[in-house]
Amino acid sequence: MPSERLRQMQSQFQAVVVGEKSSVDGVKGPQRLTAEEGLKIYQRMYRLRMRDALLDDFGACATVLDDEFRILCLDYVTHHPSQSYTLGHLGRNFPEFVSQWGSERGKPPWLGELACFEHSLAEAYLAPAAQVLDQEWLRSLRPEALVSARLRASPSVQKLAFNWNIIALYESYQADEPWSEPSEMDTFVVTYGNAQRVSYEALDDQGHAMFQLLFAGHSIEEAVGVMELSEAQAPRVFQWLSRWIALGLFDEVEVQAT
Amino acid sequence: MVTERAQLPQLGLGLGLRSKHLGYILEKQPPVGFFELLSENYLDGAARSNRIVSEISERYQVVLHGVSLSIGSSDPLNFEYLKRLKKLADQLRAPWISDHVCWTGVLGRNTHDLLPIPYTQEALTHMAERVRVVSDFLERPLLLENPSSYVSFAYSSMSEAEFMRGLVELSGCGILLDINNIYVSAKNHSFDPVEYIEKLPLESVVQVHLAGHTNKGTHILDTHSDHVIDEVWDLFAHLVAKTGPVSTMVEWDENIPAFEVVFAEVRKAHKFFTKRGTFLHA
Repeated sequence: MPSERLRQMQSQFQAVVVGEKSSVDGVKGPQRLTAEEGLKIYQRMYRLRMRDALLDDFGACATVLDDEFRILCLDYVTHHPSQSYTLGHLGRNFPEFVSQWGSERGKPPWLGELACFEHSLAEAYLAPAAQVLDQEWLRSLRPEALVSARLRASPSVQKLAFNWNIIALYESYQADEPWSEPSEMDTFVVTYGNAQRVSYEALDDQGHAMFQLLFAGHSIEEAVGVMELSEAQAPRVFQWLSRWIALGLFDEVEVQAT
Repeated sequence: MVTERAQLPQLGLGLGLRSKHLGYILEKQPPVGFFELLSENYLDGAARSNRIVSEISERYQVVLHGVSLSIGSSDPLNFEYLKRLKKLADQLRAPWISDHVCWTGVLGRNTHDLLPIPYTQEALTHMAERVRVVSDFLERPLLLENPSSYVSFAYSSMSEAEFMRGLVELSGCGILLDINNIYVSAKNHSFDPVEYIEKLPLESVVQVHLAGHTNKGTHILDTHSDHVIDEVWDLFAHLVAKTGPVSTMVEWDENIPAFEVVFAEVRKAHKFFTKRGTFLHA
């Protein structure tokens, strides 16, 4: 059992590291610094470590906010300190926090959406491995089996809908080019990842509607029915499926026995 | 039972695996004795980390080095973390697992920093008990690394080296000796680094870390951001003159240069070993 003195010291020390206190009983600084200055080193390292972890996942947000990103990170970890052995999921509550934080400070209304998009990419990076369906599977199916198939999205896949075209901004950031304010427009995107890379696929209105129905567990035939697509649009449906399967967006299928 | 170097494989000269170097390593397959993986990066079973683990461990001997064991914390041990760590170590056939003589958080939080312990009998007893529990659970030798520090405790009743010795004797853990950390702490707290080494149970030093640091004038920060300085090499020479070849690696975590630069840094260790016999490559 740890002693009460150890418990108290660690509780005080941690409070200093996260910026809630400035001293710890019985602590001495290194030979040329005071105890407070020594403790400040730990506090600075903590802040840097947290900011670096969030910067890894939210680089576009950091570019938009510039110096204020540092303040945002500090506010965020004060409200949502790490409770995990890994920093990989530190940003789990970041998009929601950014929306609130931004609206209270008059930041652009699309900032939360940008954070949400970046977070979904970060999560895809950490997604478990999956045995995804491939083109060979698609080719092997008879048309009647294909239309009855119910596909399941692989674990890394997230389907996102935004009110602003934050993808254009993100792509400017990725290309290290100057960014401009996103325009207000419905934007649909699927993020996904595998062992090699993390990426995203923009969807148009109809593609998004189809993906949403499949994502919700409808068979292809049912989805086509709900969307009231004509027979002439069948090749388009096949193009979507072919593309999404090539990207590895589905990992399981239920095909009706014939 | 105390973990002794002689009972464990001597892995040669290694490096900390950094994602920046991964492509180069897989393509060129440089003759590195072992790679040290940062455990926490590979515990989630993500597709990407699984691939890295599999590709590296097919070609190289791998050891695991963690930063979240928090062995000195007054919080309970995290058995979910330990379960994942054990599974990963089994998968990699890692000959040992290492972490630090420190704590990283309390009250359910993790600061992800290596925070200092007061060197008291009560802290020693507490930590040694936890080391025994962890070693039993992991079913593998556990090595603990001496930390670098920027404060100390007025009520410490022993030196860090005495604490390390006590920990080895009470818990049976091995030592991962970070020579740069000895140098950094010796400068910061004004103690003799050679005397520090002399006080350690050197037969329990299983692995060595070397790294660069940042001298801020008033104090030194352990940043792993540069070449190993001559004074640290001198301390290393002093150590290996007594121990002979030990599994040795360089850590480089900031301003990471090309793989060849980091590899050249660790290969400098060769010249110190040849004075005591041939260095064994894995």
